[in-house]
Amino acid sequence: MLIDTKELLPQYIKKVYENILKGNFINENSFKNGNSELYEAIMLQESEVRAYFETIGYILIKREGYFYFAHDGASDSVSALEKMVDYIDIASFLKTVDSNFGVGYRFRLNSIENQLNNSIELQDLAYKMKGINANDNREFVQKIVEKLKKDGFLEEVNSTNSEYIILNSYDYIESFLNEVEVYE
Amino acid sequence: MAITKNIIEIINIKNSCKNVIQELYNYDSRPNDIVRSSYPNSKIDDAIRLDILEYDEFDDELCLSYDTKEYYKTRMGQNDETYIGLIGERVENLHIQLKNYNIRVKNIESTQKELQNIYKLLNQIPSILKHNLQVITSNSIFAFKSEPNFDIKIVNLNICQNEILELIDASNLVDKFLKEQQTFLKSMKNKKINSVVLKLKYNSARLEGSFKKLYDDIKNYINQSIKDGEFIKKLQHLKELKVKNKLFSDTNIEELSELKPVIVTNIKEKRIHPDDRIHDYIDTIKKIIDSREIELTNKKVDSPIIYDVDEKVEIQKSLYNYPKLNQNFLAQDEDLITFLIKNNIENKRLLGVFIRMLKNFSSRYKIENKEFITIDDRQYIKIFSNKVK
Repeated sequence: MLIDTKELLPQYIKKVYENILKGNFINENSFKNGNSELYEAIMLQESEVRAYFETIGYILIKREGYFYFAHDGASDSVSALEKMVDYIDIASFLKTVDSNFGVGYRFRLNSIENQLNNSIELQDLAYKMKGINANDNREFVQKIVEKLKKDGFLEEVNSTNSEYIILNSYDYIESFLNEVEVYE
Repeated sequence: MAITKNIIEIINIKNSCKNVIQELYNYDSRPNDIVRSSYPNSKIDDAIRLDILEYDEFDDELCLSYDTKEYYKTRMGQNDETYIGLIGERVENLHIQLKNYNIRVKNIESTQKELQNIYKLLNQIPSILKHNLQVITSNSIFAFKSEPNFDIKIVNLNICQNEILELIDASNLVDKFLKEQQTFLKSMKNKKINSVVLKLKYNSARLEGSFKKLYDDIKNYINQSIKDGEFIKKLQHLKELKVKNKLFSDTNIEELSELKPVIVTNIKEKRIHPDDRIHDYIDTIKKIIDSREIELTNKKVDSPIIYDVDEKVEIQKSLYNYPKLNQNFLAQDEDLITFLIKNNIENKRLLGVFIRMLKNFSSRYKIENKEFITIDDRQYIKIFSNKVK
């Protein structure tokens, strides 16, 4: 396939590459760092961007409302598996907080902390969760939020009241865990 | 009427005007100018278009619509009971009043009381239909969004679904009544009754779309809730297996992880071979792709191409013995490209071999000055062995 590179804007190609390096998702519902604009730009030239990055070994994957890059040599399936195993506990905790928790969900840090303070079931889940060591409920919620943020599944929408939104990329976790088959 | 719109759309608009609506609800007055000016007009316009807000041009006041007030009442739990049976009762009563009316007409008695009752009953029906529709809407949203217990949620949503079906039946009953009594109602020649019949028919037609939309919304809520419920159960199951260290043996999670395209994560730049630092060479890659385009579209290269020593291209596999070539190169005084030509390297492979030599043994090569040699319209920079003085 011929790539008309004149049509590809170098500044956004550079930005896409920066995203690849950080292992970021490119979300339609993320409004920080020009993410949604980048999503729109890729949508307009999806096949060109795919072909462009395929030549250097990165495969553009499109999902509902987000893009990400896959690369056989850049990561290994063991670390990807470890990440998914960690997220079983986190996804379960968040679904227990609210069964509607998922893509597009908005919440405040305080509201989850309050629920955790008042629910023995949630406290039990938090207590048994390995890998997140916190001194109190607030720190526990903050650590969960930080992890989701670091992994590109969540974004702060209002810093004054610590309000967050779950990005479209969270679907990556949910659809993966949904696909797991349990042998009876 | 707001209820003829999709519930999600209404919720979104309501959320975007939340502060204005909240302020109006709290004080039932014009919102203060600061709040109003901080909201985009289009959102307020949307809210007015959907009858969430009402703008009174005469008084120049923005206020909550009747629907919104009802919506708030139901959300606050002031209004969560349906009275669908009232519609059937009203229709039944109408039949009785019409019968009495007929008897009085035959006996040439005053029909004033019956006319008044018929008018009142007909006038009440649209409000009862609307009230029930709003309560079911509110209850279904509440069940879907706020009820944390899955079983209670599904029970409540099923109740809402059955109630909407019941309400559709009640609405059809009203339509049937109006159709059956059409001639008779017209013959009454009572302006008030005729206008209320028209109003009823108009409302009935508008409500029909709302019934269907609400029914679809509830169906979606049920499906989504079931999906969420199954996912929660699966997560709990996976958690149990994880605790028992049986996650890998009792599920296909490992296999799935291998099959899925692995997401690029945390690439450490220093781990990458210098040649893979593509972000430093974006412009160069562009040039390469550009030149490939030229090559594919026009095989004859008109202008000479200057080879850039930093350029990276894919090198075709060949059978040349590079270490030996390097040894021979270091042992003589010619520049690299002249040496390669003298060593009978194929013309079409010249560029590739030149790059490979440079790439593999560059630490022992040097460029004395930027002199070029032209071969086949391509310019090669003069590279010498480090030993050469």
